Amino acid sequence: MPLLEVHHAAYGVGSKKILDDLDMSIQEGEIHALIGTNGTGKSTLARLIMGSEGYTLSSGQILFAGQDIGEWPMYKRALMGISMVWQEPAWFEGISVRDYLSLGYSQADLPDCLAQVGLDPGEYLDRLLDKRMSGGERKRIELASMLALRPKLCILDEPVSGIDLVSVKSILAVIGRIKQNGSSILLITHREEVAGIADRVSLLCGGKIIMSGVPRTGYHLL
Amino acid sequence: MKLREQLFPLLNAAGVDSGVLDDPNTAHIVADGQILVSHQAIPGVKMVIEERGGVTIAGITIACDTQIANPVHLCFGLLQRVGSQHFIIHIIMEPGAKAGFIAHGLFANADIVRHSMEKRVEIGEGAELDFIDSHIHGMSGGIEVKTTGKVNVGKHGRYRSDFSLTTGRVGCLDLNESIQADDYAVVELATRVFGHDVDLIKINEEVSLKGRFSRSMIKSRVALEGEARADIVGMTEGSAEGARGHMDCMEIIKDQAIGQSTPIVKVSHPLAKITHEAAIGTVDKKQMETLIAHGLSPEQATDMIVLGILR
Repeated sequence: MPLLEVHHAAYGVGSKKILDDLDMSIQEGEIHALIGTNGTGKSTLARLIMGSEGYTLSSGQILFAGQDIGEWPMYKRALMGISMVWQEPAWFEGISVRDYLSLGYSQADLPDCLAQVGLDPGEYLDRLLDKRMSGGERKRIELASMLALRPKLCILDEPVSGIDLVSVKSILAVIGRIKQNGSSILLITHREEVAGIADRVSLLCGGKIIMSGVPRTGYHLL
Repeated sequence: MKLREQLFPLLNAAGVDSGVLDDPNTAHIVADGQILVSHQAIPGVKMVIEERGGVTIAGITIACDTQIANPVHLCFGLLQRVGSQHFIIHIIMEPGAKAGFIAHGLFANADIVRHSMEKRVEIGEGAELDFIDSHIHGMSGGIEVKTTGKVNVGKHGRYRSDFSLTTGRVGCLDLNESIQADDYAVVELATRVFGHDVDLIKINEEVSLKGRFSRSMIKSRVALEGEARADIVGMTEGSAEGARGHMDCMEIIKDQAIGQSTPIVKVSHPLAKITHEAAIGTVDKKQMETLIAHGLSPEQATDMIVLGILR
């Protein structure tokens, strides 16, 4: 049974259809990349799966571990093991990196999580997640939090945006480690080289998944 | 038990080791209401304390070019449930002096209490003063706190003030501070208040950057719940070449609370620049969702964000 199944999902804003009869699934332990041009609804699908406020399917189903979670609030989905890294992470006053990485009763080795994303634990553990931190640093902290939290399903929305070109390779390696930790990953990206690390890639266009396949062997038109 | 020892648990509750009052290298003043419980001066710190017409006046002078290693502790509180306390603190930082002050407003038992503190500060050339004023209140809400400050910061001087009232009910708070900064002086004001129930908060901070290349930052962080109200006025005036000021006010509002922020910017020199930002509203949705996605309930996420801004 797939970990996540989306069946006949439809979602729109006013008269504009964003997702239209979309089907997709994520198997346990896989990195599933969702690609598509800007504005095709990739992030919308991520928010629908995560359960962001105001995001409910107009029709269709989202099943997680076989349970229909479509009406569940976000915190219940998080407790079930779904977590997400937003494209633009939030900044916080007065919350340290240590506090943040400890969320969700994480028992992880926090210094190790930071080291894995290329941040010096001695320098970063007690730093605040406020606006003095750069976008790239903040993004790495988010990825470190996924290493610490070990969600069953980790949704990564454009994880390399804001990351300098030289560091992209190391971030992709971190995504691999999140998978090694036991998380399945929905990897949202518009960059093909990022999708290249996925076990499966789906192309979203016109509100539907129009192609899906294994990166090295090519995509299949659905 | 002596009054001094009775104040110790309140001090410890404020996160301060009451042992500092026995440290021969730490200057302090301890008062219960108008009763002067103890005081200690140390080399470099001169104290003159007197009572005049129901007001205790404490003059503290930090000697020229002296750096005081341990902060001076001012423990002002009231053990009784009903009463009042009126203090005037006159601090003189002689040129080149550096010191930190920590004022503890210990009113955890207060039911009907008035506390007023008037602060007059003179910071000499190149001198630096850190003044932390932290209040611990009880849950009755029957306390009225009036704090006024008049501060002159001399050339190349530095003044940093941090007022916090985040434990217990605020009651009625009226905080007024007015600072004048001379050439190259630096002023940093931070205020953190958490209002509950029908608490009333009035904050008025004014900085006049009259000195060349003087700088200032006014930062206010207020969280309100229940029917609490806050009215925050921040004013910065730049009237000299190179003066730079910024005001940053954030209020998080829950329930039926009402927050108001008024930034006033006055610039009377073409090479001065003052900026401001203010945000008033409910807890930020993006922050909430980020924390919830990490396993917190909405209530836990709200608490963490609110406590974060007040930290």
